Amino acid sequence: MLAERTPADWACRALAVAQVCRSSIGGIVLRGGPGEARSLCLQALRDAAEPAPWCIAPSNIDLDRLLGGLDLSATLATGKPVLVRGVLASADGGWLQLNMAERQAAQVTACVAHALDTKYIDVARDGLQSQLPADFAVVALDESREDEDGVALALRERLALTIETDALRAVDVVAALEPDTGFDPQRMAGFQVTDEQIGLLASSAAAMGEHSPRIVLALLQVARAVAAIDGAEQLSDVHLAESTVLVLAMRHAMTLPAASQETDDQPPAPPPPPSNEQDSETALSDDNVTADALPESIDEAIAAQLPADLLMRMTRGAAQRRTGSGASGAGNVRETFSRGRPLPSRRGVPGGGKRVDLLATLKSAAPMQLLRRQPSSSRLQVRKDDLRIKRFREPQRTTTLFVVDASGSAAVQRLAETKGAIELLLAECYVRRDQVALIAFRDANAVLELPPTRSLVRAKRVLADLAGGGATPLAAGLKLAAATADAIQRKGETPVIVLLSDARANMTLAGEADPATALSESLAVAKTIAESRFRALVIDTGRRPTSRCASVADAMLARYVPLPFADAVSVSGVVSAMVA
Amino acid sequence: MPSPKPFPFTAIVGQDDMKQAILIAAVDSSIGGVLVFGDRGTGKSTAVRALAGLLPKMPVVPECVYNGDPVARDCLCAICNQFIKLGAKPKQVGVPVVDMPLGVTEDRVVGALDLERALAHGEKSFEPGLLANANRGFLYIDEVNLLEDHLVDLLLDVAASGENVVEREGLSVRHPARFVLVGSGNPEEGELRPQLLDRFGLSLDVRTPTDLKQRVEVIRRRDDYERDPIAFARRWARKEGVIRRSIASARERLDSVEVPDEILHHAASLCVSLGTDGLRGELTLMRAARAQAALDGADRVTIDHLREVAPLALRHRLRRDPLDDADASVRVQRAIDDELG
Repeated sequence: MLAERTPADWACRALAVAQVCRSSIGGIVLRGGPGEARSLCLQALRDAAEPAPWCIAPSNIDLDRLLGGLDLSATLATGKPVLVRGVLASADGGWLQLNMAERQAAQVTACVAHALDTKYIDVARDGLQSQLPADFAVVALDESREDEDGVALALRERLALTIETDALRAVDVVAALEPDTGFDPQRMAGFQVTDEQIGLLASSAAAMGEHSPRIVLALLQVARAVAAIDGAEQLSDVHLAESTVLVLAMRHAMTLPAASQETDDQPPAPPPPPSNEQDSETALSDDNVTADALPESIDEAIAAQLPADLLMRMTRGAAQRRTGSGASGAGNVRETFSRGRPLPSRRGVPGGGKRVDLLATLKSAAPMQLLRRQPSSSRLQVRKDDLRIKRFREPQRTTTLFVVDASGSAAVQRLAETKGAIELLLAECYVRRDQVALIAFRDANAVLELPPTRSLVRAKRVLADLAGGGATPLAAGLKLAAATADAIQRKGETPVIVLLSDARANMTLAGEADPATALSESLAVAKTIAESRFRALVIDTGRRPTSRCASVADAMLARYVPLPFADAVSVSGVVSAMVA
Repeated sequence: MPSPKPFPFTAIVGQDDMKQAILIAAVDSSIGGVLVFGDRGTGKSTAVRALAGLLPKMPVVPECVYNGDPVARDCLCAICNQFIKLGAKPKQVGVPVVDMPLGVTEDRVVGALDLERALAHGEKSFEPGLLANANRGFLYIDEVNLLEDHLVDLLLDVAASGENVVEREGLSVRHPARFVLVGSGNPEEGELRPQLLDRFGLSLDVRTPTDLKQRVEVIRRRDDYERDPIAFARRWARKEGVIRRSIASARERLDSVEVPDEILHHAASLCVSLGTDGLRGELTLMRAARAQAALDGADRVTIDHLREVAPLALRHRLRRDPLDDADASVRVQRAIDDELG
């Protein structure tokens, strides 16, 4: 029965559940660009929300507007500190629409997540302190493309439902919209749930790689809502199945398959992806059995919704997250006083490149005006304590660290190509004010041939003198790379490691010729690079791409690019795509 | 508004490390804070908020905004001075657990000029901030890695010195601010600077429980709690009482717990073998072992206590070793096995 529903049916079902549950399931993510289907979904929610408040947080909202703070004009007019409510407090009892949620700053998503957990916000800003109720549900508009990180994970986890609006046609949505069923919210809490049912939900969540208890709680709540909407007497497996589709399948499916094809062409639904593969990273032993234990209705319901390449996408998504690219890469920005994205201003004295933030300064002076007023003058009285300075965060400079295999196996010709690529990159780096460093490894050890530099002349001289030949001490090269990258990071710059090698390691760290140990040591060192979350790229320069090199890249959580016929231009192209 | 009944501490499923660390910090506040890093949805904030319901009441000077201690008499405010002179009856209040709101500004943390009074009466008076509210209690910072660096610095300074010194807007105020700092965060949202890291006394990583039975139990209890918090709290009241009493007795006995030289020797050799910088590691290790012994009702610290608390006290003080890919806790465990046998 469930498998016959079209994506539009499911979307409308999700909307109905969102309206019913509101803040008890956090809210809903509408994933996709602006379009008619998305507008329809939004409008349906808005209509149902009437007359409760509906507040919108634009993508560039700052903490002042989000949490509230001192109202400048009211404070000046009354001579008393006046608090202006932020968006979060205004949304109490209703909905908060987060525009371009994938681009919201970490501070903003953290505030929203906190309010979702506690249902209130603490405002402690600009000399004011109060606690305001903020019980709202979130509609997050996520416009990220497939290869980008979506909504911040902390928020994602708290929003139970997802609709892929790009996959929907507006006419289908209009047809599928469910009329408002007069329904009693009291019914929802009344449904009893057994431990087996909770176990089922927990194991299906785990099978989809969702380990947080919050997701399971959301599953339970959605199941109750579905049962209540259908007017059921008690919670049955059908409701659980429907909940798993609404929460889990729709969360992970980037595009829902057309239901007609699924049901017509493949009557026996394909089994869900075995959980042990998905969990290889977290190694959850007891989940292997549980996927089989799912009752058939859940099995079918999920299977009907899963695109075939889901597994690949999920693992790719995990890898992306681990490397910390995208908006969540909080380590790759730094604070400055001159340029970049604005941060909240803070108390300080202008000068030395620090500029005064006029509005914030006025704000801090405003409440004191009555007190400071002098009979002889009507001027605004601003004191040194009031001064606020502007702050910005700026993307860090990048240092590209080349780790070059100069051994005999890597052939002398390759070395020449590498040299050429580095020179090309250097020219680009000069424009971006980035730096380049080079480590070469051959014979028994690795040497930092070129410390981080922006000097083209110096780099060229070093490169010209670089000799090749000898054994391949890969582990030593990576070890030095990790240490150098660490040093670069300590200086406040972002290192990107680029390894050019065929990974035919044959020299151990102790300087003995033992290929097996050399490779296992290399993998161990590569893992530490992954742990430090350095961005990395492995270019396989072997004549034929080997699994050995791919496994080193895997251990480093690096991108792997086999370039059997690497030339200077293609190497530099791959690297600059990575760095930029 | 915050729900009237926090989730009971004893009802938290698993997460023994986290509970142990918080209990140790509750017994000896000089340990200097707990840092909890880890997966989302593991009950980090639940555990800290549960503390409020767990800790035994404490006597304070009535009306003192700094929660002045009528016994130690370290608060120098006018009300406390009056109290000491006249000798009134102290009031019993719950231990404060102060939540540091996100987006807080510095003036609200340290305290600032009281605007209302300044405007209404033209008086220059100090309006205490969160640090004053948290005196003798707990200060909880969710998402500590999102807090601005200068605020974290300031907090750690105050936490270490036990005193808040305010020099701003023509005010000059100092007041006691002894509190246990509890920070939580998620490594995916950015790392904490290493300088800040080792200023926390204890640190631990929490993971989502992987055992299905445990997961079901987590959901079951959370669901029961959300549907009827008051009835749920009543069901756990007895267990809460047991822990509350054990904290109270551990606090009383803390000073009389003996730390043999041999234990100090072991602690020092453990720190040396792990290459931790400075003496802070040894000091914390010793204090944590003593608090653990007091919680266990022992008269003297044994090597088992040391073994139990060493990962909590040391794991965030290790130098990163590019050749050792093991998790920090594993490295501490290995050193414990080597050094303590």
